[in-house]
Amino acid sequence: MELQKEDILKYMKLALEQAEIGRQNKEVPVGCVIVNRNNGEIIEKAHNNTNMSKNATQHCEIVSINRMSRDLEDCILFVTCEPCIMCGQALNYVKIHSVYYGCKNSRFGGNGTVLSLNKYPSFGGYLEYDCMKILQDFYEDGNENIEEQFRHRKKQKQ
Amino acid sequence: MQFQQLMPIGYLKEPPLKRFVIAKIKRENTEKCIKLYKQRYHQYFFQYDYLKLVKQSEEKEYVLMLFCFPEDLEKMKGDFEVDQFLEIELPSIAPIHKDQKQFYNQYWNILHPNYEYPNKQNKEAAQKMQQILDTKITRNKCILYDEDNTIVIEAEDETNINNARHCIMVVMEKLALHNKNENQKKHFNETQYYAKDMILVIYYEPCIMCAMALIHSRISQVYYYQKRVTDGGLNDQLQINNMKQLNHKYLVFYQH
Repeated sequence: MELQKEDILKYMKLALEQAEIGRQNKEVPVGCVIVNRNNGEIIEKAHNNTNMSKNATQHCEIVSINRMSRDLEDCILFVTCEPCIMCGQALNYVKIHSVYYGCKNSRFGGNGTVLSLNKYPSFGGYLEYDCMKILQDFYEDGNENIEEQFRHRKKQKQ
Repeated sequence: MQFQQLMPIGYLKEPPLKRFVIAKIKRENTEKCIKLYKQRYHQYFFQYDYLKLVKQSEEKEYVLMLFCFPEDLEKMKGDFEVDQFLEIELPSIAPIHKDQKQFYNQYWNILHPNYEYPNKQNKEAAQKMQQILDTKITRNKCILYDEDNTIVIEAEDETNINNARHCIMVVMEKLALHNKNENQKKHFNETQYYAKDMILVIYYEPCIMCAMALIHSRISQVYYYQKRVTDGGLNDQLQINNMKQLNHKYLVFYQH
């Protein structure tokens, strides 16, 4: 199946919906969708699950890889934020076909920002504003799961 | 069993240099000059406190004193009886390991610094590593424990499920299960969901994915035995644990 721009945006919106579900569960709002590349069928959806599972490695990519438990040679991943170094390498191991992401991840990005690990083609910049906005809104109030004294939050203007 | 610490990349190379002005003073004036200098400018070289103030010159009747940076020479030179000012280049960062002494000594005398490395090793790591070496079935395993041994978790690779389930990912899941248990809430309340202050002993060097997973989990020390041929994340070429951009650092020791 040839991916048209409309298709990519459609799947990115689904990933954003997952991110929104994550935010309602007080998780860092990042979501992903895995799509079969031959028929466009959605195989797996996930959002970050670090706080609920009390496991810092449960990013949405890892969650969906663990649920699939097979190689993903015929799959395309759509994710709202660039995969981190850990997830970028994990996607190498499961031989994903290609990755489309929204905004860049300037702190941990493993697909070109901090390190370039990807052996698969990786394209960024789809719905970049929306993907960034949902993360910014989340961090504006500070991460509620972290205790007050450890939160990184913007100081409010007086 | 002796472990060796993983040092930052390039620490045994020549240090970066910066230009300093040194003053050549007569031997009999040395004490007077040092006293006067310390009175007036005692905080001037506070960033370079690993450099000693004076050094014996090659000529016997002269002593070299660290004076200032080139841009301040005009302002500062009036008050001292100095025969000659010289410009030289000296190391601009402090040594972090005592092996670097040979490089620094050819430039200037080094004040006994508090070397950052090597760090203190955990006493039980060797014993835990032996435990892994003694297992007959598989060595693809790791042990995660904390300093007072209240939590000890073992895990093995589960790559039969999928290729990304290395033992570190498995051990983090087991730690999460441990934290979910109501009886062990104390650890969770103190450290959130992180593996803070915990130590990992593993046979194979953690790959890039696992090294990053350990950063996400805020581990404090890692010991490994065997280097990886490909995709290693904690070796002399790539050190995920020391990267400046990332928000956590941890200590790595390996078997030589």
